[in-house]
Amino acid sequence: MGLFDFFKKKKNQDQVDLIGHSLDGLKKGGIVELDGESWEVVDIGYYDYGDEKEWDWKLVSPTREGFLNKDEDGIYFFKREDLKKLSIDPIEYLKTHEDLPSEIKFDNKLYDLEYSGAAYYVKDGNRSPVVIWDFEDDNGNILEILQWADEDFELFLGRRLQEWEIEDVLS
Amino acid sequence: MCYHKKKNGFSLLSLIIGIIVVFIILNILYSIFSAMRPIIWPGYGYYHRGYWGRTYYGHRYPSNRYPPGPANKGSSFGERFASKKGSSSFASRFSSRYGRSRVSGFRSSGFFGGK
Repeated sequence: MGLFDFFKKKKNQDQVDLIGHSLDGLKKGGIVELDGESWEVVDIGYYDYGDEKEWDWKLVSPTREGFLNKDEDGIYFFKREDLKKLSIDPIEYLKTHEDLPSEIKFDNKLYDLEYSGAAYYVKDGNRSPVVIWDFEDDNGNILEILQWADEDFELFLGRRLQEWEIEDVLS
Repeated sequence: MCYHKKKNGFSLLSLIIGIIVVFIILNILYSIFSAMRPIIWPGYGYYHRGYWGRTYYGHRYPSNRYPPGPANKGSSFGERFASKKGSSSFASRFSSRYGRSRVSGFRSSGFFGGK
Protein backbone atom coordinates (compact mmCIF):
# COMPACT_ATOMS: atom_id res chain seq x y z
CA MET A 1 0.00 0.00 0.00
CA GLY A 2 1.56 3.22 -1.15
CA LEU A 3 1.70 6.49 0.63
CA PHE A 4 -1.25 7.90 -1.30
CA ASP A 5 -3.33 4.73 -1.51
CA PHE A 6 -5.13 5.70 1.66
CA PHE A 7 -6.51 8.80 -0.02
CA LYS A 8 -7.28 6.96 -3.25
CA LYS A 9 -9.27 4.34 -1.40
CA LYS A 10 -11.34 6.97 0.33
CA LYS A 11 -12.02 8.69 -2.97
CA ASN A 12 -13.25 5.47 -4.59
CA GLN A 13 -15.63 4.88 -1.72
CA ASP A 14 -17.28 8.18 -2.60
CA GLN A 15 -17.66 7.24 -6.25
CA VAL A 16 -20.90 8.18 -7.90
CA ASP A 17 -23.00 5.77 -9.88
CA LEU A 18 -23.47 7.66 -13.10
CA ILE A 19 -25.50 5.11 -15.00
CA GLY A 20 -28.52 7.36 -15.25
CA HIS A 21 -27.78 9.36 -18.34
CA SER A 22 -25.56 11.75 -16.44
CA LEU A 23 -21.84 11.85 -17.00
CA ASP A 24 -21.46 15.20 -15.34
CA GLY A 25 -19.50 13.75 -12.46
CA LEU A 26 -17.05 11.94 -14.71
CA LYS A 27 -13.70 13.60 -14.16
CA LYS A 28 -10.29 13.27 -15.72
CA GLY A 29 -8.77 10.02 -14.51
CA GLY A 30 -12.19 8.38 -14.19
CA ILE A 31 -12.70 4.89 -15.54
CA VAL A 32 -15.57 3.72 -17.74
CA GLU A 33 -16.27 0.13 -18.71
CA LEU A 34 -17.47 -0.04 -22.29
CA ASP A 35 -17.48 -2.84 -24.84
CA GLY A 36 -15.64 -5.08 -22.43
CA GLU A 37 -12.75 -2.65 -22.06
CA SER A 38 -11.71 -0.20 -19.39
CA TRP A 39 -11.43 3.35 -20.67
CA GLU A 40 -9.72 6.12 -18.79
CA VAL A 41 -10.89 9.70 -19.14
CA VAL A 42 -7.86 11.70 -20.21
CA ASP A 43 -9.47 14.94 -21.29
CA ILE A 44 -12.72 16.81 -21.01
CA GLY A 45 -13.95 19.57 -23.25
CA TYR A 46 -17.00 20.63 -25.15
CA TYR A 47 -18.13 21.49 -28.65
CA ASP A 48 -19.63 24.90 -29.06
CA TYR A 49 -22.03 24.91 -31.98
CA GLY A 50 -23.16 28.46 -31.34
CA ASP A 51 -26.34 28.02 -29.39
CA GLU A 52 -25.72 24.38 -28.53
CA LYS A 53 -23.04 22.61 -26.59
CA GLU A 54 -21.96 19.02 -26.45
CA TRP A 55 -19.73 17.70 -23.74
CA ASP A 56 -16.92 15.43 -24.73
CA TRP A 57 -14.87 13.02 -22.65
CA LYS A 58 -11.75 11.79 -24.37
CA LEU A 59 -10.97 8.18 -23.50
CA VAL A 60 -8.08 5.82 -23.89
CA SER A 61 -8.05 2.08 -23.41
CA PRO A 62 -4.94 -0.07 -23.45
CA THR A 63 -5.37 -0.56 -27.17
CA ARG A 64 -7.14 2.45 -28.66
CA GLU A 65 -8.68 5.88 -28.32
CA GLY A 66 -12.26 7.01 -28.21
CA PHE A 67 -14.61 9.48 -26.67
CA LEU A 68 -17.96 9.84 -25.00
CA ASN A 69 -20.17 12.59 -26.28
CA LYS A 70 -23.27 13.87 -24.60
CA ASP A 71 -25.95 16.09 -26.06
CA GLU A 72 -29.49 16.82 -25.01
CA ASP A 73 -30.68 13.61 -26.54
CA GLY A 74 -28.28 11.01 -25.28
CA ILE A 75 -24.80 9.69 -24.85
CA TYR A 76 -22.66 8.51 -27.74
CA PHE A 77 -19.54 6.40 -27.75
CA PHE A 78 -16.95 6.61 -30.51
CA LYS A 79 -13.73 4.76 -31.23
CA ARG A 80 -10.94 6.04 -33.42
CA GLU A 81 -10.64 4.36 -36.79
CA ASP A 82 -8.06 4.41 -39.54
CA LEU A 83 -8.83 6.93 -42.26
CA LYS A 84 -7.44 4.50 -44.81
CA LYS A 85 -10.50 2.32 -44.30
CA LEU A 86 -12.65 4.99 -45.93
CA SER A 87 -13.57 4.59 -49.55
CA ILE A 88 -12.15 8.05 -50.24
CA ASP A 89 -9.21 10.05 -49.02
CA PRO A 90 -10.88 13.16 -47.55
CA ILE A 91 -7.75 15.25 -47.96
CA GLU A 92 -7.49 14.52 -51.66
CA TYR A 93 -11.23 14.60 -52.18
CA LEU A 94 -11.64 18.08 -50.73
CA LYS A 95 -8.91 19.43 -52.94
CA THR A 96 -11.24 19.04 -55.87
CA HIS A 97 -14.66 19.18 -54.16
CA GLU A 98 -16.25 21.69 -51.86
CA ASP A 99 -17.81 19.04 -49.66
CA LEU A 100 -17.58 15.35 -48.89
CA PRO A 101 -19.96 13.04 -50.79
CA SER A 102 -23.40 12.27 -49.42
CA GLU A 103 -22.54 8.58 -49.28
CA ILE A 104 -19.33 7.06 -48.13
CA LYS A 105 -18.08 3.53 -47.60
CA PHE A 106 -16.22 2.34 -44.56
CA ASP A 107 -15.12 -1.26 -44.30
CA ASN A 108 -17.29 -1.92 -47.34
CA LYS A 109 -20.42 -0.70 -45.54
CA LEU A 110 -22.38 2.23 -46.88
CA TYR A 111 -22.99 5.27 -44.70
CA ASP A 112 -25.27 8.18 -45.58
CA LEU A 113 -24.49 11.76 -44.69
CA GLU A 114 -26.77 12.91 -41.88
CA TYR A 115 -25.12 16.08 -40.65
CA SER A 116 -22.38 18.42 -41.62
CA GLY A 117 -21.54 21.46 -39.61
CA ALA A 118 -18.88 23.17 -37.62
CA ALA A 119 -18.09 23.91 -34.03
CA TYR A 120 -15.40 25.17 -31.76
CA TYR A 121 -13.82 22.57 -29.55
CA VAL A 122 -13.25 24.33 -26.24
CA LYS A 123 -10.83 23.21 -23.60
CA ASP A 124 -8.85 25.16 -21.04
CA GLY A 125 -9.90 28.40 -22.66
CA ASN A 126 -8.64 27.37 -26.09
CA ARG A 127 -11.13 27.31 -28.93
CA SER A 128 -10.23 25.20 -31.91
CA PRO A 129 -12.41 25.23 -35.02
CA VAL A 130 -13.50 21.90 -36.37
CA VAL A 131 -15.68 20.86 -39.27
CA ILE A 132 -17.78 17.78 -38.63
CA TRP A 133 -19.46 15.26 -40.90
CA ASP A 134 -21.72 12.57 -39.47
CA PHE A 135 -22.66 9.59 -41.59
CA GLU A 136 -24.98 6.82 -40.48
CA ASP A 137 -25.65 3.30 -41.70
CA ASP A 138 -28.89 1.34 -41.55
CA ASN A 139 -27.99 -0.10 -38.15
CA GLY A 140 -27.53 3.25 -36.45
CA ASN A 141 -23.74 3.18 -36.50
CA ILE A 142 -22.34 6.66 -36.83
CA LEU A 143 -19.23 7.48 -38.79
CA GLU A 144 -17.81 10.82 -37.76
CA ILE A 145 -15.19 12.65 -39.77
CA LEU A 146 -13.54 15.63 -38.14
CA GLN A 147 -11.45 18.19 -39.95
CA TRP A 148 -9.16 20.32 -37.81
CA ALA A 149 -7.11 21.91 -40.56
CA ASP A 150 -6.69 21.62 -44.31
CA GLU A 151 -4.91 18.29 -44.05
CA ASP A 152 -5.75 17.22 -40.53
CA PHE A 153 -8.59 14.73 -40.38
CA GLU A 154 -9.78 12.21 -37.85
CA LEU A 155 -12.21 9.34 -38.19
CA PHE A 156 -14.36 7.79 -35.49
CA LEU A 157 -16.97 5.08 -35.52
CA GLY A 158 -19.61 5.09 -32.84
CA ARG A 159 -23.16 4.64 -31.77
CA ARG A 160 -25.70 5.87 -29.30
CA LEU A 161 -25.32 4.15 -25.97
CA GLN A 162 -28.07 2.44 -24.08
CA GLU A 163 -28.08 2.93 -20.34
CA TRP A 164 -27.14 -0.64 -19.63
CA GLU A 165 -24.11 -0.43 -21.87
CA ILE A 166 -22.25 1.77 -19.45
CA GLU A 167 -21.35 -1.03 -17.11
CA ASP A 168 -19.48 0.95 -14.54
CA VAL A 169 -18.18 4.41 -13.98
CA LEU A 170 -15.55 5.33 -11.43
CA SER A 171 -14.84 8.98 -11.09
CA MET B 1 39.12 -11.02 19.28
CA CYS B 2 35.67 -12.37 19.51
CA TYR B 3 34.45 -9.04 20.94
CA HIS B 4 35.91 -7.07 18.03
CA LYS B 5 34.25 -9.32 15.49
CA LYS B 6 30.90 -8.80 17.14
CA LYS B 7 31.42 -5.04 17.25
CA ASN B 8 32.40 -4.86 13.57
CA GLY B 9 29.39 -6.98 12.59
CA PHE B 10 27.04 -4.69 14.45
CA SER B 11 28.49 -1.63 12.73
CA LEU B 12 28.05 -3.19 9.29
CA LEU B 13 24.46 -4.08 10.08
CA SER B 14 23.82 -0.51 11.23
CA LEU B 15 25.33 0.81 8.02
CA ILE B 16 23.14 -1.44 5.87
CA ILE B 17 20.00 -0.52 7.81
CA GLY B 18 20.97 3.14 7.58
CA ILE B 19 21.36 2.93 3.81
CA ILE B 20 18.00 1.19 3.47
CA VAL B 21 16.28 3.81 5.64
CA VAL B 22 17.84 6.66 3.65
CA PHE B 23 16.82 4.94 0.42
CA ILE B 24 13.23 4.58 1.62
CA ILE B 25 13.09 8.22 2.73
CA LEU B 26 14.46 9.40 -0.63
CA ASN B 27 11.95 7.18 -2.41
CA ILE B 28 9.07 8.67 -0.44
CA LEU B 29 10.29 12.20 -1.13
CA TYR B 30 10.58 11.38 -4.83
CA SER B 31 7.03 9.98 -4.83
CA ILE B 32 5.70 13.11 -3.16
CA PHE B 33 7.54 15.33 -5.60
CA SER B 34 6.35 13.27 -8.58
CA ALA B 35 2.75 13.50 -7.42
CA MET B 36 3.02 17.26 -6.97
CA ARG B 37 4.86 17.95 -10.20
CA PRO B 38 1.78 18.87 -12.25
CA ILE B 39 0.84 21.31 -9.47
CA ILE B 40 4.16 22.98 -8.81
CA TRP B 41 5.29 22.81 -12.42
CA PRO B 42 2.54 24.10 -14.72
CA GLY B 43 2.71 22.50 -18.10
CA TYR B 44 4.59 19.46 -16.88
CA GLY B 45 1.95 17.06 -18.13
CA TYR B 46 1.82 18.68 -21.53
CA TYR B 47 5.32 17.68 -22.42
CA HIS B 48 6.05 14.63 -20.39
CA ARG B 49 2.84 12.69 -20.75
CA GLY B 50 2.43 13.34 -24.43
CA TYR B 51 -0.39 15.72 -23.72
CA TRP B 52 -0.04 17.44 -27.04
CA GLY B 53 1.00 14.43 -29.01
CA ARG B 54 -1.02 12.07 -31.08
CA THR B 55 0.25 8.97 -29.39
CA TYR B 56 -1.63 9.39 -26.16
CA TYR B 57 -3.79 12.46 -26.22
CA GLY B 58 -3.96 12.70 -29.95
CA HIS B 59 -7.65 12.87 -30.59
CA ARG B 60 -8.31 16.50 -29.86
CA TYR B 61 -4.82 17.82 -29.76
CA PRO B 62 -2.41 17.07 -32.54
CA SER B 63 1.04 18.21 -31.59
CA ASN B 64 0.83 21.35 -33.66
CA ARG B 65 -2.60 22.49 -32.60
CA TYR B 66 -1.97 24.47 -29.46
CA PRO B 67 1.76 24.84 -29.26
CA PRO B 68 2.48 25.78 -25.67
CA GLY B 69 4.50 28.87 -25.07
CA PRO B 70 4.53 32.50 -26.07
CA ALA B 71 3.79 31.80 -29.72
CA ASN B 72 0.17 31.23 -28.91
CA LYS B 73 -0.14 33.96 -26.32
CA GLY B 74 -1.20 37.42 -27.28
CA SER B 75 -2.85 36.35 -30.49
CA SER B 76 -6.43 35.38 -30.11
CA PHE B 77 -7.95 32.51 -31.97
CA GLY B 78 -9.87 35.00 -34.10
CA GLU B 79 -6.68 36.72 -35.21
CA ARG B 80 -4.93 33.50 -36.02
CA PHE B 81 -7.93 32.10 -37.81
CA ALA B 82 -8.67 35.27 -39.74
CA SER B 83 -5.12 35.35 -41.03
CA LYS B 84 -5.71 31.99 -42.65
CA LYS B 85 -9.14 32.77 -43.99
CA GLY B 86 -9.32 33.12 -47.71
CA SER B 87 -6.27 31.06 -48.38
CA SER B 88 -7.64 28.09 -46.49
CA SER B 89 -10.55 26.03 -47.70
CA PHE B 90 -10.90 24.72 -44.18
CA ALA B 91 -11.44 28.22 -42.82
CA SER B 92 -14.09 29.06 -45.39
CA ARG B 93 -15.73 25.67 -44.88
CA PHE B 94 -15.84 26.28 -41.17
CA SER B 95 -17.25 29.78 -41.53
CA SER B 96 -20.02 28.70 -43.84
CA ARG B 97 -21.13 25.91 -41.51
CA TYR B 98 -20.73 27.30 -38.05
CA GLY B 99 -24.10 27.69 -36.39
CA ARG B 100 -25.81 24.76 -38.04
CA SER B 101 -27.91 23.03 -35.47
CA ARG B 102 -26.92 19.56 -34.52
CA VAL B 103 -29.30 18.65 -31.72
CA SER B 104 -32.23 19.21 -34.02
CA GLY B 105 -30.61 16.90 -36.53
CA PHE B 106 -30.72 13.18 -36.90
CA ARG B 107 -29.57 12.48 -33.39
CA SER B 108 -32.84 13.49 -31.83
CA SER B 109 -35.38 13.50 -34.60
CA GLY B 110 -34.07 10.80 -36.85
CA PHE B 111 -34.02 12.95 -39.94
CA PHE B 112 -31.45 15.11 -41.53
CA GLY B 113 -32.01 18.42 -39.89
CA GLY B 114 -28.56 19.83 -39.70
CA LYS B 115 -27.76 20.47 -43.26
